[in-house]
Amino acid sequence: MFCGRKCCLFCLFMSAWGFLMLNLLGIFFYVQSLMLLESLPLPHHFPSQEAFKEQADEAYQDVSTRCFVAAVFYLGFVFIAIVAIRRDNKRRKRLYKRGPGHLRFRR
Amino acid sequence: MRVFKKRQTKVKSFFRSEDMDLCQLLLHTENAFDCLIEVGHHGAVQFNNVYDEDRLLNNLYSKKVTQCYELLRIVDSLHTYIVQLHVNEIFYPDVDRENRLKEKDLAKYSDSLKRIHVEASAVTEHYYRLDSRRNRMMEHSFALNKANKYMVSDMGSELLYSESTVIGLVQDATTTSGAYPAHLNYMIGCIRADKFYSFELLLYRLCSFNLIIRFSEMPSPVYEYHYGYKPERVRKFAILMMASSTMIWPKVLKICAHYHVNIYDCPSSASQREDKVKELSQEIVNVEKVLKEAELMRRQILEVAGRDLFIIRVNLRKALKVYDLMNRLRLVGGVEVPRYLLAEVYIPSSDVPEVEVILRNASRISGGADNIDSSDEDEMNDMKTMPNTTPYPIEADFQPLEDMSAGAILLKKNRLVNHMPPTYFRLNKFTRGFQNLIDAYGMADYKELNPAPYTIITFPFLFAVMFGDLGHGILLILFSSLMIWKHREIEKYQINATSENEILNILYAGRYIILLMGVFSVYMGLVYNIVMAKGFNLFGSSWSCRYNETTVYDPAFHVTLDSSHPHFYSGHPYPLGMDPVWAVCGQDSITTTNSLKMKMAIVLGISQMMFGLGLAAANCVLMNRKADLILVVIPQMIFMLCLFGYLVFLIFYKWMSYGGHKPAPYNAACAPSVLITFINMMLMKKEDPVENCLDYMYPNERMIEFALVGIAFCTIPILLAGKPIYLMRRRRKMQQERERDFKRMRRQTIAEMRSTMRYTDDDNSETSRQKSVDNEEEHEMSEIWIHSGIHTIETVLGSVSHTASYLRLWALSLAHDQLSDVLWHMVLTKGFANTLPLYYGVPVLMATFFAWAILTVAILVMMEGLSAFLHTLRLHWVEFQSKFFGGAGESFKAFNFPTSNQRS
Repeated sequence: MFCGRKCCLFCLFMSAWGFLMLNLLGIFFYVQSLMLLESLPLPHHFPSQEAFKEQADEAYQDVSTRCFVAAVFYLGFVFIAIVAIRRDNKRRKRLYKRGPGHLRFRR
Repeated sequence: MRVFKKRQTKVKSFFRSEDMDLCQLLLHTENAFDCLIEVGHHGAVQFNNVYDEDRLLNNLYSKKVTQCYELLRIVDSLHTYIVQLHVNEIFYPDVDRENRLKEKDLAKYSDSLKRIHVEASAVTEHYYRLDSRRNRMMEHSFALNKANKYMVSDMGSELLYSESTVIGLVQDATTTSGAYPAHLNYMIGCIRADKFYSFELLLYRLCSFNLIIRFSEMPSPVYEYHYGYKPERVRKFAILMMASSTMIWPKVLKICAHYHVNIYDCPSSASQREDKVKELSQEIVNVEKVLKEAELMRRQILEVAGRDLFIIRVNLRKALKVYDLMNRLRLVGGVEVPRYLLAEVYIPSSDVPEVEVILRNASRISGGADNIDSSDEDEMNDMKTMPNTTPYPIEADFQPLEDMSAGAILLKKNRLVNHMPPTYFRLNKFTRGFQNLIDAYGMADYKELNPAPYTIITFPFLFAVMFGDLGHGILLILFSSLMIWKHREIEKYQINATSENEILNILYAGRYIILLMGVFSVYMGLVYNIVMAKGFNLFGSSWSCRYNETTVYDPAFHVTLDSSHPHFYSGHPYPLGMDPVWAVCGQDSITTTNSLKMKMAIVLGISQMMFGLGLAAANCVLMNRKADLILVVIPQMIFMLCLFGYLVFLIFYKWMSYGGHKPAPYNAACAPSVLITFINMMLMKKEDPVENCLDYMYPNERMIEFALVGIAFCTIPILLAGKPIYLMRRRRKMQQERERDFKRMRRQTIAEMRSTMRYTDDDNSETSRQKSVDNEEEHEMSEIWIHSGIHTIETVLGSVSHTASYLRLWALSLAHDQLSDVLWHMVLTKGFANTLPLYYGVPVLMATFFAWAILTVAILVMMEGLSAFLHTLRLHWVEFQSKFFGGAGESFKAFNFPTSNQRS
């Protein structure tokens, strides 16, 4: 296959981590967490407080949607990695079934 | 046979080393080998002084050792053949249990190995001879083909070389013209490619143009076989040499012989040459058939050898080790017939009954190398006495006597000896990792307190103080849990792997350390309120920010957090750890966390050092060193408590008494600096109080501080002069006793007196000296005073430098925090802080998250984790263990066979 077993396990770990963390980040952006304010694409000066609130709300919403969509893509990668690992396990079982035959022939 | 009293010995934990029994082991030469094999597999017996350089061998088993070396050489030779042919050598994982070696098996190994070696060598020699013959015929055929092709080319065209043209060329080069008849002589052969150019040059210089050489390379390299070397693949050139005169051939032949050129016959006519080539081809085919059968036979023999070669090799190595040990034991018994081997051994007290059982079983089951004949005689006796039933009771009575006389005897020694017993800790897979950390610094003395149990908690905790982050701790827990969960697969992989993976071995040995490091990092992440470089708010912050729009837009107003106003700080601290407001308040965050972490580092450092001094006191009590306790450890504790313990008190008192929300004179403006207060305390000076503030932290502060400094400085003379004066008085008292009772004075050696922590009161170590008493005392006392002075200086200055050394806890914590923040803002924020549309923003976010995650694992967890690990290790080795740990012991090196794996 295109990817070895260790590479599949690595992709599974990274995708699972990405899915979990991006979902959490999406939730925190959705509830407008103060810790994540610095990560928003906002200018440094605003004409008024209402303008700041409007732009911040809009940025929070956009980044939250982006995080959730990215998490869905990472979930897809998780499934791809799981399918690849299962296929590799089946292939190993098939190789193992030849073992007794080989030993029998040798005996 | 004497029956040992089995006293109840409980197995101690690994706070102190195991009790050691010094025993005498008496082995009969008939079954000593089998007894030592079982002892080696058990691994609980240390043989003393048998591997010293000046140890005399008894030479009773030198022949056996040589025989084992010879058999191992045969095994290596067979292994070489097996590797050449890629034959499968069978590996037995359970060779240590199921194929245990007995002395009678060695004869079988010797016979089978020699027989297989002879057969394999003969078959290999036969194969090599056949292959050489085939190679020579191939060379001959190729050379003939090339020569024939060259010779018959004159039939095609006049432009090519022809026989008459070559004759003309050769004749033109000579001085004579037409004097000899027109006749061409030629010779064919094969030479190695790497020798051809020097060969050609030599012939040119010798014969000039009287000889013409043509060469062509063979299509594939061939094997050359030389006795004692591996087969070698070499490139070969087929050469054709032509000359008009026959007088130069003897010289050419001599040169060919020196260059190992293979000369072959070459018929004169083309038809004869073609017939010869066909004949050689047919013969090559026949030889190849025989070669195939020879190779099959060779492979079969090597497969039979490979079936048992691993077992034989492992057991031969064990036998070599045992025979070498038996050769170093002392022979006792009669002068004419020595029958017993004597050894002095150390065995853990709790293992002595088990070792006795093992020796008894090995003695009973053992059949020595000389017992084969006796067993045959027993069979013959049984056959003879089959009709009679009367002699059976006699045999039954005779058997125990023989067993008793030939059994191994283990006697405990009750006499005290001068040297310290070895140190042995009974460990499991959890505690072995922590013990390895301590043993890398130094092995504990016998019965000295072991730092490893306390390191189980303090090591991961101090690591977490530097590394604390909830997310990074979870990563460490996942990694170590994976290694713990898959420990059976990892061990199987380590046994079966053909090459050793050192990094995996180190991580696997320390997997429980990594687990605890992860758990404590999660705890410190909760205390610091940090998860993956970001703060989190679990219980609601105690701070709030209430400004109206007019105030924010006023350029003259400086926005700040005023802790004295109830609108900003509610007065109720955050329940667990740091308030999450410090993660978002900008520059104030560094100021606040630096102050907090520096004080925390001081508190933790002094606590650990005081704990170390407490262990030193416990060590003195357990080892009955009262002089060291009263004159060394207690003054050290008083010194540390009066100065640095007071520093810790100042830190806590300031935290509890002063606060931003409290009224004057206990508000933030009046809070004194702990460092300046401490410096003023040491320098014994006063400062003018700030306006509207008190000039003291608590009543009578100055007086108490001066008293503490005075007490601390009073302990320094005790440290300096206490022990030397004690030793002088003890010597004087001993001298008086000696004069009164006419006994020999028991003197302590300088090496023992130089030890400040280990004061041995060994009454049995009597040493007589030729020097006079006055000169000896003066010499030794000067040494003692010098050493005491050095130790006092080290104690006083070490207190200051070790306290400052613990500030690295704050430094590395700050570095880890800032690196995490930089990684978040420089990498991951690029996926958030952009105004791209959705179908562009999502791939960018996925890529930046992937990069951020990899860098988090590579830099923050691996590199920062390794850095925090090394600094924690230094804090434990130097700052903590220097308070109480001698580390001058010897480890218990049991006679043990390591576990066999694929590489053994």
